[in-house]
Amino acid sequence: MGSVTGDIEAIDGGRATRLDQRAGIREEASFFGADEARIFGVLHAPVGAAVGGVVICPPLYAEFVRNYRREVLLARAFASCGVAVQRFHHRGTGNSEGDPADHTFEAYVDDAMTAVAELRARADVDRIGILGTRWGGVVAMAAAARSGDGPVVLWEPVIDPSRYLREVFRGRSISDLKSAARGGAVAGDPLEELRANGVVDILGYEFHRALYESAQGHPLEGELGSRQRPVLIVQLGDGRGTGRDASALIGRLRSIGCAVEHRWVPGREAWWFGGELAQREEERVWAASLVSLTTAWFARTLEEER
Amino acid sequence: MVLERMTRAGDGAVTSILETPRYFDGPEGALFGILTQPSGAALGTTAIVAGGGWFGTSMGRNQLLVRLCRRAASQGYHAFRFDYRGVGESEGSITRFEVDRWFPDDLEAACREMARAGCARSVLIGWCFGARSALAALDAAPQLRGAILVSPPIRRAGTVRWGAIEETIDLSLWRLARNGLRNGLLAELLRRDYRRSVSKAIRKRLRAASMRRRARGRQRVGEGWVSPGFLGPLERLVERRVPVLLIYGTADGEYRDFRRALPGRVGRVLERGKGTVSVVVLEGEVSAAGSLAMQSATLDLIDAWLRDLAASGTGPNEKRVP
Repeated sequence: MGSVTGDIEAIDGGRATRLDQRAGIREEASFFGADEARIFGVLHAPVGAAVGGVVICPPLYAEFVRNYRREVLLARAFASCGVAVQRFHHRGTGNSEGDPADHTFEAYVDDAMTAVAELRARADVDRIGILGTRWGGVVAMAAAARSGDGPVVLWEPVIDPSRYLREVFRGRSISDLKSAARGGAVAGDPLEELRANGVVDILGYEFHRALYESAQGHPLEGELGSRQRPVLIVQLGDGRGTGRDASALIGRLRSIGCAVEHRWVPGREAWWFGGELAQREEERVWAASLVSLTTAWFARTLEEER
Repeated sequence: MVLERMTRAGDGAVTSILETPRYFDGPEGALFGILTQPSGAALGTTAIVAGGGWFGTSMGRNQLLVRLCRRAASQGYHAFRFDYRGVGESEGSITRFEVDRWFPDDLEAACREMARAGCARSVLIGWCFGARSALAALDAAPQLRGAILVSPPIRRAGTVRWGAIEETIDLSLWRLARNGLRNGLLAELLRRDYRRSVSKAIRKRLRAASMRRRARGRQRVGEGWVSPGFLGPLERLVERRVPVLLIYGTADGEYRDFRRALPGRVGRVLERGKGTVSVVVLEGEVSAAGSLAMQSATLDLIDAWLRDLAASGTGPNEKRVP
């Protein structure tokens, strides 16, 4: 079956495949991209020919972990509807190779573009949409602007990275306060720490200066490009008040001719806090709604385009 | 053909690594794992890594387990990490993770997969819930050379974690009443508007106090609260002279239980294991890997122990219990 390295059988080509006949899907896990630092990813494809494709851009840090299973379930749902999906881990994160210290906003977008190329090559699809959650939303939109006029789905997107980073740092400060109240050491200002050391500990995650500095100049609104495309924006909550940032984003997308659908899913996610991942994803009703809403929208979009 | 790759093995160090994903048969469908090949000469031993459970993936927080595998590979070990059923890329489902209702089947399936692929010897590495799974899956491990147990819970299901009892003591009814009297708040709280919520709070405190008394009674009566699922396999490891590294953090709830258990049978087992069992306690919280400093300290410790194991066939002969 494979070559032998050391005393353990290695799989040729480094690709693992599983077939789920019941769901009619095939999954292929592999490393791809440039040799210096390969990207880990999983292709979820229908057993037959795919009618379209989607690349999923994951969020970062704790949010990446929170959204992980949801993305797997979404990809499986897409594949069973005939849409091929390429999921991936950014370099320097997850199972991918690379050093997170080197990773800038541009590098994140490059990763997404590499995943788009991988999907195109492996699933033989022309029409490719991109989906991103949280920070992955900015990356998804930037990658979409560079790769055609395919549909874009944004789940709870980070609209203003500067504000997002402030929230992340605030999370660390809250945790420090809690720790100090329990008699732990009083930590310093995380931003000062980042400036001084080039890296800061945010709740057990490495946060590097390269990302901090490169993210500042990339609000979501600035990554829309000029092409018309269908866009689905999904936010979690009860729908009371879209928020100034989201309204401005929707207005800007419509001004360049994009067909925007803005939907609320009545759910809540503690992206950074909330203890352990104490509930399995399949038990969250709102997560199932999020998945079915997204797959239905994408299928409708493909149908309308045909 | 599979090529060697350059990547970070941990803490900025760059080394060549080679990883291959694998799907393998689990109890509820396919499980997913990644095998890391040794970067230099192979030792012929595979580190099989069971993560912490609670719906987290085999990568661990901040790639902790990915780094662990890559660092082990840089020493010549093969390393295999996998997602439990219903988690990450694996199929199946799991409703709850409980410390004394672990499912060793997944780890046993990972061991079988490694044996099938040609693994001759193994080291089991388990984190928290994974440590208990490792203890339950000892027999499935191909020629077990050692075990690293990070913050293993030792209590039996349904017993109260000692840390929780201590926290309850801190908030005892007497202390609350005393504070209330001192600040003149008690009279205010007994006003009609507050009476209902105050009585609810008092009932809650009384229940906690009763729970505390019952738990204390159990601790005094014997060691029934210590899980046989922890003690039994630990004794077997000691009898078989298999090197074991136990790591706890001073802030781990599990460590408080461990300390309470030391004067009893657990302590006696460790005493018999002198020379093969090492207990290392780090300052802070190890189980949640909640800080970069703690992650580095734990990985360094595991690295050093694996190096000694490779060099001498036994773990470091150190035992340090504060």
